Amino acid sequence: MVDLETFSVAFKNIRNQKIRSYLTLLGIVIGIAAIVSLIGIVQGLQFFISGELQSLGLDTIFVEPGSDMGISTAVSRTLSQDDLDLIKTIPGVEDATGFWETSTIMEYNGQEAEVILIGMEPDKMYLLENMGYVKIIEGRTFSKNDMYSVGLYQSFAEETFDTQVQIKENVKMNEKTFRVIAISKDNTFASAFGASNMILVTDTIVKEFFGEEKPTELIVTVTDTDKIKKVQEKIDYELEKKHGTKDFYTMTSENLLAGADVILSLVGLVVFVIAGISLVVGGIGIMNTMLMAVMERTREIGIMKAVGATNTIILSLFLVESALIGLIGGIIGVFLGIGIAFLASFAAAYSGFPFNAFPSLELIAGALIFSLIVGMVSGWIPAQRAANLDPVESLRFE
Amino acid sequence: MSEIIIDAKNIVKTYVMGETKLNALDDVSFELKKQEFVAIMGPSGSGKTTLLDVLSVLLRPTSGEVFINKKPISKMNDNELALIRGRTIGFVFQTFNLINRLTAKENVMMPLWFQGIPKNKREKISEEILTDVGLADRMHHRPTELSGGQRQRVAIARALAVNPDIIVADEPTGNLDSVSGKQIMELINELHDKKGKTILMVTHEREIADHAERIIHLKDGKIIHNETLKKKKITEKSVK
Repeated sequence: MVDLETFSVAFKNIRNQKIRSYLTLLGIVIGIAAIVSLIGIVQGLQFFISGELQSLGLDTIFVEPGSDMGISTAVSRTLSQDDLDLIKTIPGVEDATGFWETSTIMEYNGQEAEVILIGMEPDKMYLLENMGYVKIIEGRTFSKNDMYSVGLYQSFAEETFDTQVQIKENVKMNEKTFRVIAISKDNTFASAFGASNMILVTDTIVKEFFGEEKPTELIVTVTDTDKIKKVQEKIDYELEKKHGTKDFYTMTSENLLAGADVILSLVGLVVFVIAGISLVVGGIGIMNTMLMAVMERTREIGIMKAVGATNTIILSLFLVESALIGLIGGIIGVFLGIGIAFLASFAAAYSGFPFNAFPSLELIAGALIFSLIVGMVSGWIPAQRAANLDPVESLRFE
Repeated sequence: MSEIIIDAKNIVKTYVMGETKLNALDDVSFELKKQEFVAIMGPSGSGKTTLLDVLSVLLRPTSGEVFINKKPISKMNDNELALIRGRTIGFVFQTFNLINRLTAKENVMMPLWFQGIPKNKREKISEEILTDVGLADRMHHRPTELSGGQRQRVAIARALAVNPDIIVADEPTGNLDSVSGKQIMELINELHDKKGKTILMVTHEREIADHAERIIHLKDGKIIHNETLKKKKITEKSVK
């Protein structure tokens, strides 16, 4: 017999012991807030990263030096121009190019700054735009005739030197004058990882002017996205045969996504376990509070039983009370969690990492149901104890 | 001859305290007729409160059987006993046993809740009964804001809420001064005389017991004397 009165009496009982109830709630609030905010952040990251990776293109294969994904060996240069030529002959390959990288010092207005040069074939630079790395907001794209030309990211142009680098101005690198022909919108990934000092130049500059012959990364596009896996396998096979060892690895945006998903799921799991532990502690808090409440109200329970309360009524009264503590804690925790997640995305956006960590409705509903269950499970033993109290003994309990 | 409302046969209640066994009730048989007013007397430790607990189905006897309206309680589970108490017995205790964080009205409403009576009806009944016992202006006071006599009136109002046949009173004047005690006894007499309630009362004071029609004298868990008082006639109370 759980009627409206049961809820109203249970709620009154909770309010009656304000401080104790608040302290008990706190355990659940913290656990639920942790789950909602952290899982919300993880989900937001997952969504953000999958969006970013998808913009890399579903038809692109990256060939990287090193032995496996995740272990970045940018220093080792095991790829070469020959590899690029070989890949171009593989059926299903639409186009292939590479990045040539080096670092140097840029001079402007008597000031110096360290920069990373990314060299690329001018007629392949459209790939950068397709992948969302580059979006020219001022100036023009590179052409075959460009030699001593550079492209800058907006924030680099604005913030590196005391005065802003303008389009068509000159900068100096390695004693040679370069002309700024393009300014691109910032790239989220690049700026988030502190590499906003990347400067775009033609591949010839890096290869001939800086003597860096070997590409750091190859980019291959395929004619048919459905056959991308076949082409990837073929590249793996051909390159390994040529190198005699697998000192490179290939990946697609799909591979990257799967890798990111694995890491984030793991993070999510760890977060869930930690928050789960705090919820268990919170549940024990509820149980403790309810056991105390049963003790305190022993006489009251005796009175209620004398005037006709069945064991079932007493049981449901205490069970509803602890379930309500759980649920109220859950509701406060959800709001707090949303707040924390919101602050986190705000802070992330402020530091140039605009992902949206708003917890999903499923997550919120799940957290609320979970808090309710924690409350009920924790309240079960105390409620049983209350229901089974002997009326005569409890009536005369002092 | 009125019908028997509580019939206790060969009640034994044994408490085990460590090595020793104590027979709080030792083969007690007792009949309570409808509309009777019976007092149970005896020195402390005589088992009178235990008898009251058993007769009002708060406590199961070790052996023997209690019939409430001819139904044996040994066949009933705890929930059924609770329902019988709620429906047919109203309790008045020496220490009032009100819930201090509820108002007088809420205390009176409580037994009605257990009977599944809707809230507006519960409120109406409580207000009427509290007015009847003279507490119309104290309904929203908590027990701690009331005098002993007023608290006992609230307790009586609570006992009356479900309109039970039997009122069980355990030393109802024990915690009251003589003036309030007298008023409470007048109220109990009135319930018996005018409302036709069956009253079962425990007391150790002779002058309180004298309000009853019959006095059961208890000693060492046994009934030693069943005294019928002449001065009060059954015909008196049927005048309404």
